[in-house]
Amino acid sequence: MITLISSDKRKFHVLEEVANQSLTIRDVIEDRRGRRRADRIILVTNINSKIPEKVIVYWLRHFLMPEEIAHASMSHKKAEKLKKWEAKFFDTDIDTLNDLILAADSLDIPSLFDGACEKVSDILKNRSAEEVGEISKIENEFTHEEEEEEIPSENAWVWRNEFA
Amino acid sequence: MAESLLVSNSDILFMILSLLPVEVLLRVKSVCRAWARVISDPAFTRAHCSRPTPITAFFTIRYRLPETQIQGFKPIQIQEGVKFPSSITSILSSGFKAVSGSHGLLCFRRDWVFIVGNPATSHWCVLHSANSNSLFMYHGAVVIYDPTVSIHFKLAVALIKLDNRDAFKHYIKFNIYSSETSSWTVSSLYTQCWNPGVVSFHKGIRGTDAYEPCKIGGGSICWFDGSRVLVGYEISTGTYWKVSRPSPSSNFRSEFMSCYNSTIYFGRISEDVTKVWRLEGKNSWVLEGEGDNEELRRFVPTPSAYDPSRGALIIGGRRNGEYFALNFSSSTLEILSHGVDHPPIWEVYDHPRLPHGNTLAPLHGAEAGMNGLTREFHRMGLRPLDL
Repeated sequence: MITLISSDKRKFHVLEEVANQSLTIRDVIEDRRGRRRADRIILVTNINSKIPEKVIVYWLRHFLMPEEIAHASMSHKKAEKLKKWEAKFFDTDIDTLNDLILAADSLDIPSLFDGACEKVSDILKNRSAEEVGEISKIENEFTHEEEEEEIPSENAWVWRNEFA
Repeated sequence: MAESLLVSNSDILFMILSLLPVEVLLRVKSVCRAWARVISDPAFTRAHCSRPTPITAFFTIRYRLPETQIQGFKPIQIQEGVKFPSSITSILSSGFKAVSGSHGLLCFRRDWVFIVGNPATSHWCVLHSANSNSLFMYHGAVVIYDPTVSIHFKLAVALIKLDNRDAFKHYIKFNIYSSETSSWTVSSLYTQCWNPGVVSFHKGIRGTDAYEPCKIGGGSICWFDGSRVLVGYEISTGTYWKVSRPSPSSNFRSEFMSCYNSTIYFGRISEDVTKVWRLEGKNSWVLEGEGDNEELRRFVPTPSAYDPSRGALIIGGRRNGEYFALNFSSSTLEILSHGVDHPPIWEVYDHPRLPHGNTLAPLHGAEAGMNGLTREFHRMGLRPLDL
């Protein structure tokens, strides 16, 4: 059993086999193998407790269905089910997704990283530049004149709605 | 909340932006400077181009039956929500035909004038090919380009000459333009014989759409010769190579060759299964996928192209503009575009020809915007582009 401690001091006990899905944690465990129990505690300082909860839920779902199976021999029905589950899992606000990406990046969980990035790109896809700026809390530093310049006329087609 | 990740962490921003389609990227470029910087970075462009681009449109040749007269060229959109640069329609309406494409680049031709460009970013260049020997006729053109390797492209113009004594024999050569040297070279001659039992031909010349660009040998031009053998001309070495079809079979409903982003695919629809192979190297076909669907047996399928990004074979249906995708992983048939019904007296057939997907691909020697094209059109005495 491994203990993860989040930035707000909450403790999470996870089976080693489950937490192994994080390549960072796997390396830490490998390094500390055979040492005292206290060394089985891993501080996850850059994330709050909401995120480890989500990460562990993700781990458990994927632990039951290892990656290799997911790609090669999984039946079509099971793959569909996992896809549906993931869609629901990632259906959350952009702040949580940001935190998930950050956690997946620092804990090195490639499938979670890719999944969350894909979801963010999906959210951005069907929005105007203003809306994108708003939801990703980005302040537009372009002045009005610059903005006019930034959009060359030859790229005007991307702003039109019709199929020419 | 801390500053948005989408600004502060450039690796993550790079990753997320690289998942977005071109038209969205061009739009969100104006969100902030950090985004504009990432999107204009050549490393980003290369990474974005190396992701598989789904086919979003086909350039089709429109025939009218029963005269089988070519009515024109028409782009047909097969993915909802994906927009189409209007410059394409203006070029097509000026008497140019879409002849080739690769990685988002398109090549248009009118007589001996060729326009090569990226319509998504609106970068264009105009090339004039001289035909020094009037015995040779135009037979096709191919643009050879891979943005993940280089921003240089080659344009190969295929020329054909018939043999006076032997009606089944003819000669092919290529005029090849390289954007790296900005000059034209001429290939050696290839002698080809039609096998009259295998290929039906009209006045000795097959359609002008038989040549495809291929990445093999650092860039080759591929076509099926008279005996249904795939021939390739490797530009860098000036040599011809040949490869037979994968596992020859006589029991099939239809066979096709398609090319998307410089990869040659060969497909065969049989009674029980549909298979697609990919040409990997000069002598090896690799099975890309197979699938089957009951629905397929209900109509005469016209395979149009294999789309590696969708993992699906795109098939044209019976009606004009009707497209399906046969998904190989799930064996499902998805409707991409509903067809249009025509009055029963005459029928129009759209022969899908050129699969196209928008990319950010940069190209050497191209001028940004439509000004260069407008100037060239004026010089050629053509009607100004209608933008």
